[in-house]
Amino acid sequence: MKDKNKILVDATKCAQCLLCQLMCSFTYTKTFNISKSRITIDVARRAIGFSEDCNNCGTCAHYCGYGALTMEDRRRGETHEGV
Amino acid sequence: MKEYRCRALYVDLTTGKSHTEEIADEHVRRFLGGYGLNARLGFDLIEPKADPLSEKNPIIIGACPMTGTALPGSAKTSLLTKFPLTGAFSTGINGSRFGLLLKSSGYSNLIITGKADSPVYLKIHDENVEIRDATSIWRKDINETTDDLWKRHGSSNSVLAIGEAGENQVAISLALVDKIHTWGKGGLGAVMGSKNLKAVMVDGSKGVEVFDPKGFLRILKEIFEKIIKDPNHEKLIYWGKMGYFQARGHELGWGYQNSRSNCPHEIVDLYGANVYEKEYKKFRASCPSCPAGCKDILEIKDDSGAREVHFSSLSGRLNNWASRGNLGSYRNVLECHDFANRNGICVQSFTGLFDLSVELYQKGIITKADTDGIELKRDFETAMMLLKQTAKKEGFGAILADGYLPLIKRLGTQCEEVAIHEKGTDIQADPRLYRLNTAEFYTVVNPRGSPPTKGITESYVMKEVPFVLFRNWAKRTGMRQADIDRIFYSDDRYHISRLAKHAEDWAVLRESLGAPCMEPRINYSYDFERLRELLFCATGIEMVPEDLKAVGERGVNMEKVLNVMEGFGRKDDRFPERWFEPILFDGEEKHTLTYFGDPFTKEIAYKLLDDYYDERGWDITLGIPTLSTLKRMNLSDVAEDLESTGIFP
Repeated sequence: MKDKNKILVDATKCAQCLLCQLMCSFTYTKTFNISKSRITIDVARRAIGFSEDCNNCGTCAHYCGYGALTMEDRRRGETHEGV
Repeated sequence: MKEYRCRALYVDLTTGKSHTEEIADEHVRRFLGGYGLNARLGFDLIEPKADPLSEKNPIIIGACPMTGTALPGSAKTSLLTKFPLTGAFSTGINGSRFGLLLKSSGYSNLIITGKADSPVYLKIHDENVEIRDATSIWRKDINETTDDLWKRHGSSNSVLAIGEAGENQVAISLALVDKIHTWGKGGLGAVMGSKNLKAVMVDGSKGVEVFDPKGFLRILKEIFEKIIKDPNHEKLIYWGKMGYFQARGHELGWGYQNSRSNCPHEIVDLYGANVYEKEYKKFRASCPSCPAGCKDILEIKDDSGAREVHFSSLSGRLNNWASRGNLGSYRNVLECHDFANRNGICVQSFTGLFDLSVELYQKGIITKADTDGIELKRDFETAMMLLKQTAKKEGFGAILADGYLPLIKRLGTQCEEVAIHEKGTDIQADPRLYRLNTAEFYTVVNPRGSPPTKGITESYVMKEVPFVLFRNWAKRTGMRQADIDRIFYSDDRYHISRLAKHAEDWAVLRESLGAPCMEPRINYSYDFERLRELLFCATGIEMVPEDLKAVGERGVNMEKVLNVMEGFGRKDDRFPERWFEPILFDGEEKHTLTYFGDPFTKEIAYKLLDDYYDERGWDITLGIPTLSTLKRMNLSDVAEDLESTGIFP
């Protein structure tokens, strides 16, 4: 399921570790703050979404250890320049 | 980032008021956070010998410097209270969003005191702290309560909730966070229930800063990359704790029928990985910040639809239900486990007591007159009936609800000889099956009785460990060379209980810093120097190795002080009598051996205790810290307060 440009989402694999949210917010605000993350994890509905601010950098996919988020055209190991 | 500070939120349920206080810098520098800081804050609050179910028993929750970051294992948060099951102050750890969001609200600690007049829940969001009416959710189970609160306030909140067992002040109750992460074995549910506190909900918008973002990120990436690049990573994620479940059951064994024998192999296989995968596996779950999650969400399907059953530790709980309950099928286990979760009953405690009770019944020590006419046997129907009674504290369930100590007091020696417990808690590690090493010894001195986790050094249970790895562990965890040389007294032996002391200090240091997870892939990510560097990168606090090493030992001593004031000492650090009797393994008797193969006798047991207390600098006869030890540990403020009590030598 493609949910944001080239970030492929499979919510059934999400373990709700929130690393995607923590690292997204850290990348852009230098603070670990899931409320400021551009990727949203709804733990009740088990849903993954993206805000309008998401620029498709792939940091979230890089830090997903469960295969819930993968980049369509980027190998693991490459991250956004700011990280 | 400004200078690192800790801020505590105090909520008094009696007055309905809350306030915040900055925690004194001298406390933060000595204890850092979590385990140790909770104990020091508790020292100023507690009234010794108070009833754990009275308004005088505080609940003290403490996050750590690393909590709220993306560091693997950092989500673990500590909770200190006097637990009704044991009567001791001890610390329970939880890995969930709760600590992360507490820090994100701007608080390192949450301290709840008093008692509300009627059912309430606590809602925390940054500076907004509200005590709200919980009448509509009282008597709802934990899942219903959490879903209700999420519907009202949003699922960005982390919800710590109790079920009916806690509301009825059952001593073997606990709480769950976000419906899956257990907290507070030993009666946290009862403590909250005694305060009319149904739930605590936290969300936060401030986030968590670190002192040196670049340095912190560098170490975080090293740890993360190593975990992810493990060639077995995908397999480990897929199987979680089920990867070694059957091997452990077959090769090591689990105590069966009140630990008279090992669990038959065919019963082990009833709950095996193939059944898990084909019939019930649904989702992987994890603590926040962890890329190596090991929690499980299973699914039961029947005519009424599909229902999720949550496991904080699937293999551990399957072990408990299978070997102690003999429930007959995986499905039956899920039904019982789901009931226990929803009502907030501790599975370890319940299954231990259930198992014991059946033996007592078989021996005629208890009869149908005690059980309200129920014939006690190990099967699904009896287990489910007793679970329901326990939640309501009715019938024989009312006896189970109070735990081991009142039962032993009521029935006397004939029960004490049969029960396997430590300070009123069921025991998870049987040295007759695993040999007696640091973890099994630690059970005896653990204020909580169980689990043995803080005593773990190298992971020695499932495999033969080259001796050099124990020495490497000692160096990796910052032990001084002089201590290593003294404790590792030959090429292939160490003093077990002296090393256990250092294992405990290391574990408490990690529980004070925010990296306490003992799952191997996370555990091995941290060594002493890395923790020292992480402390600086997270907080700007620089500590010489000696000072950082002392933090763990100081935390142990601080919590011990609270328990000495309750009357605990050497007399309570007892080796269960059953450890000196054999267990049948596949029909053959197995006696307890030390890790090095020596028969385990009472003489050896007493010597181990002497060695442990000596290693701690405690009074060997009393098994408690001396005033001079407390002063040596930079606890002079505590020692001065205690001098007049005459308790401490």
